[in-house]
Amino acid sequence: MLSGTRELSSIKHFIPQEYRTTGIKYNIIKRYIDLERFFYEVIEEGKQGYVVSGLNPSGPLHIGHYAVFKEVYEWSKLYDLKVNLPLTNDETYVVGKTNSLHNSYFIAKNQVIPLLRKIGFSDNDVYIDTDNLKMYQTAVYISKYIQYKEGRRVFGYDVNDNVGKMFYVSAIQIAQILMPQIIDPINEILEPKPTLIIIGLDQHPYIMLARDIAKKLNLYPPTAVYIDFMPSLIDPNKKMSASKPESAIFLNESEETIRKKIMHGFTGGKSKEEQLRNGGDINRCSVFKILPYLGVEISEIEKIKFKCKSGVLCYNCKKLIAQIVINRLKNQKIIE
Amino acid sequence: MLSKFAKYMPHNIQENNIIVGYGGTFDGYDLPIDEIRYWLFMHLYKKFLESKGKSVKLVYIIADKGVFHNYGENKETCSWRAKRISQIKALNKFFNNEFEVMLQSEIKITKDDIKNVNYLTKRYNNLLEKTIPPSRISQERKRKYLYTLEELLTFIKITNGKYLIKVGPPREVFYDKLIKILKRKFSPLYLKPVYPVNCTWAYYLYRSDVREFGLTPYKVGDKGYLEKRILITDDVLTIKYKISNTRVSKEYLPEVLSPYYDLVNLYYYYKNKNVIIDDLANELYKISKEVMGHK
Repeated sequence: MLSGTRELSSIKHFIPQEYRTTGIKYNIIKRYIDLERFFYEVIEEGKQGYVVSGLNPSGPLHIGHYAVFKEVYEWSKLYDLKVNLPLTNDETYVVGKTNSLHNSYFIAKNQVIPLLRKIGFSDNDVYIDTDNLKMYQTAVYISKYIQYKEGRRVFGYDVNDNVGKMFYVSAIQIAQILMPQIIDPINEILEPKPTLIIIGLDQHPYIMLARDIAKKLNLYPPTAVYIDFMPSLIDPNKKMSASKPESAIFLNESEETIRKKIMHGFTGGKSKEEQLRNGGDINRCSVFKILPYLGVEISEIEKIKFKCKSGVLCYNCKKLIAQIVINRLKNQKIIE
Repeated sequence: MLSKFAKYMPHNIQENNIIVGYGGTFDGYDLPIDEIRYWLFMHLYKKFLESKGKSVKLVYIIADKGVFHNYGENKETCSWRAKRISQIKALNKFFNNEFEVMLQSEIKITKDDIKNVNYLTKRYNNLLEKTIPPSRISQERKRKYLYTLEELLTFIKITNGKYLIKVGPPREVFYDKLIKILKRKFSPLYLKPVYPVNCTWAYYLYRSDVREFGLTPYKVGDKGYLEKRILITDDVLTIKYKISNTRVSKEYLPEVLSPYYDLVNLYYYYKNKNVIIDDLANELYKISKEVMGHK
C-alpha cells in the first residue's frame, strides 16, 4: 500500500515556515510521493502548477470535508496553484451510494459548491462530473491506455460490478488527475504541468496507475500528498463519517447541536478520580484531536494539552473546545 | 593559524617530496569565485607542510583534453581554453607563480598507459560509472571510459612516483578511489562543497546530489547556473543580489554560505589582516578584484 511513498517528516525541515500549510504544520499530511520534484518545478522553475482533489457528493457535509477543502485552498494560495475540484456525482451513482444521478447532482450543486465558495474557491475551480464534457472526453482518450488486467489488479473488479463502476474507477478517476495536463483530448494536445493531488492514503493505487499512464503519455507523473482524515468524535482511531451521525459535526447543524455532540465526544475513558490524579490522555481524546485540522494556533493547543495533563476535567475542556470550533466555523461563515 | 592545517596531514607520511595537485575542466564562462578558495587553501597548506620539513610542489592542471573529449577540439572550445589560461595565469600571478600550471593535453598518455589500466573497466566498472554524469554514461560506456582513465593517468603521470595529495571537491571521491587503486602514495583532500546561491529552498530539497557533493568549483557548468554562482567578474551589486536571493530553509543557509566565509577567512589570513565579516558581498568583491586584478 505504501510503495513509492515517503514520510513527510523526512523533508519537513526543508520547507520554510511560511510555506507550511495546516496539513504540513500539524503532521496531518504524513506521506507523499514525488513532492520534491513538484516543489522544484513550481518554486525553483516558476512553472504554473495545479492542485486536484475532489468529493463524492453522497450525503451531508461535515467538518472533515471542510478541513480537506481548506487544506486544498491553502496549497492553492501558498503555491499559486490552479485548482481542479471534481464533484463526482457519477461515482456516487455507479457505486450505488444514491439511487439517482439527480440526488448526487443536487447535493453537489446545493451543498458542496456553496461551501467551496465560502472557503474562497471560485466557480471555475470546481466542476460536477456529469456537466464536464472535457473530463469525459479525457476519460475516453486515456481509457485506451488502461488495460482490463491493470484495472483488475489495482481496483479488484468484481464480476457483479456494473461496467459504469469499472469505467469510473479506472478511466474517469485517472482523467480527473491528469486533466490539467491534457489540454485537448480530441486533438491530443498535451502539455506537462506539475500537478499535486491531495487525497487519502486509501487512494494511493489510483495515483500509482495515474503515474504510469502519465509516463506513457510523456506527461509529468502526478505528485500526491496523503492526508489523514479528521477523527471520529466517538473513536479517535476511526475517521469522521457521515454514515455515523454521532461521529461527525455536520455543517448544517445548529450551534447547540454542535456543542452537544462535542460534549458527548470520547475523551479517553479515564475515571474522574484517575483524571484528577494523573491527568488526561490526550492521545486518546477525539475531541482534542480535531483542533489541528481546524488550524487552531499551536499555542492554544499547547495550553489545552497542559490543562488536560494537569488534571482539568474533560467537561471543562470540551466546553472550551466546542467554543473554539464554533467560533472558527462562524468566522468562516460556514455555520450561521 | 597554520596549526589548523594539521588535521589535513595524511597519516604516517614518510616521504619528504610531496606534490599537492588540483585541476579542473572549464567552459566558456568566467571562473567561479570558489576557485580562489582552493588556491588559497593550497598556498597555506604548502606553508604548513614546509613547516613540517616537507618539500612541496603545487600543481594545477587545466583539463583541456577532457573538455575536447566532450565538446570536440574546435574554435569555440579553443577560445574557452585561451580564456581559462589567462584567468588561471592571473590567479597564479597573485600567488607569485607558485603553482606549476600544466595543460592536460601536454601530458603524454600513450596507448600502452591506457592498456595498463584497462583492467579497471572490468573490475571497477561501478566506480568508473560514478565518475560520469548520468547524461554521459552511455557515451562513455561506448568509449570504454576513456575520459575517466585519462584523467586518472594524468595525475599518476605528473607525480612521477612522488607522494600525491590531491585537493578537490567532494564529488571527486570516486575518481580518488580509483587513483588509490593505481597509486599507493596518494591521499585525497576534500574542501567543503561549493553550493549554488540564488536558489530557492526547493532546489536544495530536490537536488540531493548537490546537497551531498556540491558543484564543481572550477566551472559554472551550464547557463542556468550563471545566476547561481558568484563569478570572479561579478560586480558588488551582482554579488549582493545573488547572496540576498539565497532562500534556503534556515537549517541549510549557514551550510550554503560557509564556504564563502571560509574564503574570506583564508584570504585575510593570507594578507595577514583581521577583518570582521559584516558584509560578505563586499568582502568577496574585494577579494576577486584584488586576486584577479581585472577591474
